[in-house]
Amino acid sequence: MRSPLFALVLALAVPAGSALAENVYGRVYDTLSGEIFGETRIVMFNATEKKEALTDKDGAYWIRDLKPGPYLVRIVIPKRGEIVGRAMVYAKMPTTIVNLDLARIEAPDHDDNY
Amino acid sequence: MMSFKKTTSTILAATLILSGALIAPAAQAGEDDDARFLGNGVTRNNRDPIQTGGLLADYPTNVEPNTGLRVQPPTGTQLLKGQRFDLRVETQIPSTNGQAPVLKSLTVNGTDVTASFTAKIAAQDAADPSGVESGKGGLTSSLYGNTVRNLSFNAPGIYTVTAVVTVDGVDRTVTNVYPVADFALRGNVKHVAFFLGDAMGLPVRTAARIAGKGVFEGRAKGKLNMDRMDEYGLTYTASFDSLITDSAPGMANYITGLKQPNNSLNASGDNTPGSGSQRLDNPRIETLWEYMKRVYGWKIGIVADAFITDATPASAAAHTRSRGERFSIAQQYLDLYRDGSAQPATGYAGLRELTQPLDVIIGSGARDFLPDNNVDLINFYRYAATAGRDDGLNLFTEATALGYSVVKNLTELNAAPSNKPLLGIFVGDFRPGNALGVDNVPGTLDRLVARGLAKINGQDATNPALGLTAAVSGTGTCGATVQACFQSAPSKKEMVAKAVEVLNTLAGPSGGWMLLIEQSQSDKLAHPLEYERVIYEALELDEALGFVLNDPTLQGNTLSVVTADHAQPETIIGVALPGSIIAGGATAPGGCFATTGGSYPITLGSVSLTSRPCDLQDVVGTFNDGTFTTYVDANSDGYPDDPDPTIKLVIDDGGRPTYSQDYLTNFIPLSPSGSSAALPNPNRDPNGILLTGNMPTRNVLPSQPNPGAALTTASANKTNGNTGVAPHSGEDVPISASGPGADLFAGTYDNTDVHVRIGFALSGKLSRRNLNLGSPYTGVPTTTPAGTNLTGF
Repeated sequence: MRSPLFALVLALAVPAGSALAENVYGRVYDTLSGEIFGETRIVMFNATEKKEALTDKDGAYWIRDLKPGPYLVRIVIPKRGEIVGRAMVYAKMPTTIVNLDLARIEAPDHDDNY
Repeated sequence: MMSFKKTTSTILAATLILSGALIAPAAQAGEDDDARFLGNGVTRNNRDPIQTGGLLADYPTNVEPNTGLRVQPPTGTQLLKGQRFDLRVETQIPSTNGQAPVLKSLTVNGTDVTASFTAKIAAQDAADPSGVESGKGGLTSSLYGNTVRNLSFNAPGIYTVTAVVTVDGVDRTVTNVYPVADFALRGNVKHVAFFLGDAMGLPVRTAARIAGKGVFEGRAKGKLNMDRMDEYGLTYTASFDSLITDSAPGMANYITGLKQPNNSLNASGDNTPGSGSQRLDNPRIETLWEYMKRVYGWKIGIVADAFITDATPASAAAHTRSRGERFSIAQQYLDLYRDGSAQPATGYAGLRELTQPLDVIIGSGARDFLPDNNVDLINFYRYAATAGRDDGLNLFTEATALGYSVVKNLTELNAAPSNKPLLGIFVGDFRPGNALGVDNVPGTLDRLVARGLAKINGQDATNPALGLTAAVSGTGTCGATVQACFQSAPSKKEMVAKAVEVLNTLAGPSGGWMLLIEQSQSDKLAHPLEYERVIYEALELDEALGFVLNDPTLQGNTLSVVTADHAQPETIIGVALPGSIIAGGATAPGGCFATTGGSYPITLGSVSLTSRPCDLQDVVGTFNDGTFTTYVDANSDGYPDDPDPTIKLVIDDGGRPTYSQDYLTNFIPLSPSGSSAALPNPNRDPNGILLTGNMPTRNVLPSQPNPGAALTTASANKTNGNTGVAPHSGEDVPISASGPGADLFAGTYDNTDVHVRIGFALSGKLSRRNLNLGSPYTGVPTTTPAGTNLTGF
């Protein structure tokens, strides 16, 4: 799908010796219930990487120096257990925003939300 | 070093800008992208492409990548001239230097409007110091967030809005582009009837025609009303943030031009996701219903068989980030803002200006209108005493005081005067253990049985197994028996007939109206895989459509549109002969599968039957065995007299929980899954074939691992959700239209483009051939007007 010209542009644009280290920022909340999840453990991992963080009182977290690519995100919520979401960390972005909205990640558990 | 300006966004971004600065276009592509070869085109690329694994991922949006600076509504939102919207500028990543971010500039087509923007924010803040009016209630000081309410562009064209916010001493920029279509009510269209069959995808429409009309030697013996319309197209149903939408953006996108996130009603996301006001203060957009009432004084109505505050009807008239705010939604319908209630007044002046009271409200869900412990809530509507409004408001009383007729059964509905706005709330399906629930009007088949017009597998209402003979206790009930209560609920045609009568009278000879008619149970009964009932739902919507298409008062000046918000992964897989199943035919009782004490492991087949689970495996006639069905309509009411004729359709589902299926219609709608989505309901088709599911099942770790502790693989399932129902599906859905401007709906397009097509039709355009050719009624000029044309500051 990508034209040869596109590939050429990207190859030229990559600075030599760049470390593939990207930053992820996001918040953990549930848009449907309005809950914000502070003090919640976030683990981003895939076959080769694993990093974790704890959200602050606004439900916000930073995870730095991640390689770009797809990740699973485990959200560990007190008294509720683990919920698994996904994220895509983009290369060459100053920050990839990964807002973890449980209303999106979880399947609706009430038929009012279908 | 190349600088990364912004990610690609959605529709408007064919913006692969390959300028001399080598700005990398696509956010997904990294050093390796998906190319098989390195840049020289020869050397094999041996690193994993970024898109490895095919895992679902967060999605790119149009934001400034350092701070998440963005403007709502999102870029590409298709507006009509004069349509109101809130303009919000916000950052998502906090500042780190201890200083609050500051708006440096806001320009529209190059003209600076910063002073106007900040002045209106100041005025909104003066009226509401809590910040809710400006959308910043609860916002931390390290983020920027301000919303100016109720702006509009008063000339068509393309508008570029650029915001610059200074964060940590650095200016950050984001740009949105809005196409604004022309609009001028011409007067040839005076009524718009929008029929939304919830989850009524193509297979459902096909099945309804086959069952309702029959097939002879391969030819349809008749057509439904929805098969006879003037023009047909397809709509793409994705929401702002998901390929699989829910019913909120599924309908709201159609009448706003805004791609909205799942669960959102006419509001975009923002950086205050908390509870209460933080969900009601999101940046909003005006719906076509509100616009036509505000600008032209048209009358507006909603009719549904769901609880009337449900997402589909609420799409016409309510605004909230969360469709679950039912109590607030009910108040917005009546334009009733009161501090101390679910919909306060303070902080919501902009919302109050935006919402318009509905003239016709017909559906169910009395709990959103009546307070806890209300006698009617309990005795008539059969809710628990604590199911009602916890703010104590009685919206039946309030509506009466506002001049509405308030009715609760068919007799009262028919007797209501036509010269007053109408609130009709009817009883739901309160039979114990049924899958539809007390919130929702009983399904069409069940109401036909109650009226003596249908049977289920030869059984009529007198058979207690159908749940209709039970007595209803108390005084002031909906009826002496469940059957009498179900008889008191009007059909969709009866609802629509009254709605049209009232709207015609209120509009008068020179006025007009917009009516949204939802068939909800085509979705709410498909979720528990009650597919025979889904066919009846589509037929009921079709009957109501026939009323509108043939009504003498609506000829020649009514645009009727029929579509769905999304589909479900259900389709026609063949036919079955119920007689072969029952009469000692295919299956001996208990033959197909056995759980272990209601749990896994599950055994299929038996010692004696080793080639297949049971003889029921052969029941479906497919390929050359797909012989024509034999539904009978002896009483000529337009519905099959029995969902289980000699030869019936078999509809089954590609996305489902584990359930069992015996190809016979259930006497009452039943949940497919049992104690979890991984186990079948033991009370539903226990002698049926086991169909294992592919939907997520609840999987919760018993205790929280300590920080740093190893995580187990027990959470291999991708979500924590228990999905014991069939899901929505992502394919395009058919849209059909009749009346002046119907031709505009041919083609395939995003659901957000329906809004502007209705606008074109109301503006007197008749053909889609000249949608972009600069005639006086052209919708969306590609010109950039001089000046901002932005009013409302």
